[in-house]
Amino acid sequence: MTNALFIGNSHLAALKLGWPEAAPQGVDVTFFGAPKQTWLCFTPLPGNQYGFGESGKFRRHRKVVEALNGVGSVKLDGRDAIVLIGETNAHAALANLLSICDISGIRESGAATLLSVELFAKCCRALAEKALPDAFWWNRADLAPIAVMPQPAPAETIRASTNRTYWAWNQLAANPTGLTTAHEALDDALTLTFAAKGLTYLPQPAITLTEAGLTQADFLGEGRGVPQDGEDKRGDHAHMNREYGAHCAAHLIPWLTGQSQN
Amino acid sequence: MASPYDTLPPSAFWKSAVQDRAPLDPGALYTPRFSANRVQRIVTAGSCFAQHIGRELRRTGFNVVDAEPMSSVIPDSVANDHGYRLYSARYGNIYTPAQLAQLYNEASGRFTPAEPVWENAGRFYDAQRPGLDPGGLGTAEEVLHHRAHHLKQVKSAFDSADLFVFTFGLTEAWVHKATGTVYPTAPGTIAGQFDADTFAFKNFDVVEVLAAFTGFMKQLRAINKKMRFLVTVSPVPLTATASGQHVEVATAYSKAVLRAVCGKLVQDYDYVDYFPSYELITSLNNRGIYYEVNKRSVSSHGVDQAMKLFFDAQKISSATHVSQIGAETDEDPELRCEEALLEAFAR
Repeated sequence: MTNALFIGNSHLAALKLGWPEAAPQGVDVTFFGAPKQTWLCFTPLPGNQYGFGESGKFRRHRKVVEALNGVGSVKLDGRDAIVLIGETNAHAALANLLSICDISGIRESGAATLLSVELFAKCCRALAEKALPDAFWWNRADLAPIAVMPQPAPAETIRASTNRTYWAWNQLAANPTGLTTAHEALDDALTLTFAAKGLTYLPQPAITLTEAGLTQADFLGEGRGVPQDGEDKRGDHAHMNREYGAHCAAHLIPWLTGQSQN
Repeated sequence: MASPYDTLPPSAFWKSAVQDRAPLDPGALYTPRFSANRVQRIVTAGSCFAQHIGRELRRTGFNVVDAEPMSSVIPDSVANDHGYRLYSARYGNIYTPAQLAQLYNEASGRFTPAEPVWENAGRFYDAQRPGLDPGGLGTAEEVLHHRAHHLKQVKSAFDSADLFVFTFGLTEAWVHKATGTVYPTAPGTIAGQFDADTFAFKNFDVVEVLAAFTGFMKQLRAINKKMRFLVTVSPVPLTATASGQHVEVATAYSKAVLRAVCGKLVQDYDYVDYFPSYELITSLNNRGIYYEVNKRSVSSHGVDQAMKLFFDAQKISSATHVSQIGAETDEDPELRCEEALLEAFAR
């Protein structure tokens, strides 16, 4: 029996929903999640617990975690694998970069700035460094092998949204030339950078992505997207559904089973 | 008859203006000829001291043109190494007016530099900005492709700006003998090969510097009639001289020539103003405190004082200015993530 811990922010939800569809025999998973603002307050606790202790600090956040998970913290010891989900968001940073910068020979859309391939590689490395999870997770040979799954790219429903959060993605979606190559280059940089810290980076499953690097609309959570009752409510294009979670699970399982065989 | 000096203000006399001035008090060194404001489109260029001016103008909310912007997601350590966020386009330091004039002429299709690509260890460099791609590019064609893009952005930036801030840095340069092409660094320093038959050292004199900058201004104003110029002289001494003189003597020559040219420009053209950052930093009143321990680099305190002099004279607050552009933010979709978790964890 493989004992795995899946821990993360709200993007853990899709994986939790989709996991039963793909789960292999002999893998026992503990899900431990918290909304983004609460997740960011999690702290290492004595005895390799992670989350919130009994102290009064973060009482409100602890209540949220307890309501979701039944407990305020989770034990990291005794796992065969740990997967951190949803925090890393380097592809949004890449979208921001490419909304004003072209890459010579890869994407030349008339942007004001033309990056050389060499400089683009450096930019990817810089974005990957920034995307690393907290140093607490680095080179933890004392814990289980750790993998990181990123926050999904926003759904392609952003094309109908006026939310400025998605301005860069929208710019790129209008002309997706070269974006697949660029996103793959970033994934390569993330893989190398994370490996240097003892972490395995598992990119968003390619089957869920559009040419522009957005998540296909079919994978957006039910009831999300641009609301019917007006653009003033900007909609949720970030949280994906069960089907997306199932793809992530299928993507994750080879790594997971590989750990149990080691 | 009373002396013509009788009616002059205290600032005209060394004793009252300098000797009796409190240490580090900048005094009334600068009276602007025309006002600067946060609406004007400002282009910056020049020697390394100009980087400080551009950065401070941006920090305080001036509309400094950035024709080759780098996304804010990339750290300064990467961006600056490649010439981003330093000037209004990615041209790197422009030490001499001859190089500036040459750049604009090239961007306007009137000039083609000799030996535009330099090679080192199988990598290729733009001879006009060899330091901006550390490690070089893979092919000479790639260098020329990037240069063509850069020139288009330079032309657009220069032709559309309202105020050109230029810091005169050096009189010394290396030139291509046959064509007069000016280079910012000596061939063989970063890339390329030095060949005494091809390249030569050039120490521009006051007539040549004046002619180069005047020519540049006239070319630019022929296209952009509203353009005004704010000129300064870098207070940073030469790091090395190829003139054969002692570096301090060579520095004094260089700064004297550049300062004289600035004076002549202000005298002859009502669209040129001079900002005395050189005088402020080098003033005896400051006892060298605005220099770092190498006695060459200007300290951040010195830069702050120079910019304070500028902002105070222009009656503009020097407080960090947060641009209103894009200040309105939309809801972070991540803040609504509790709902997604509740749905999943409730099952």
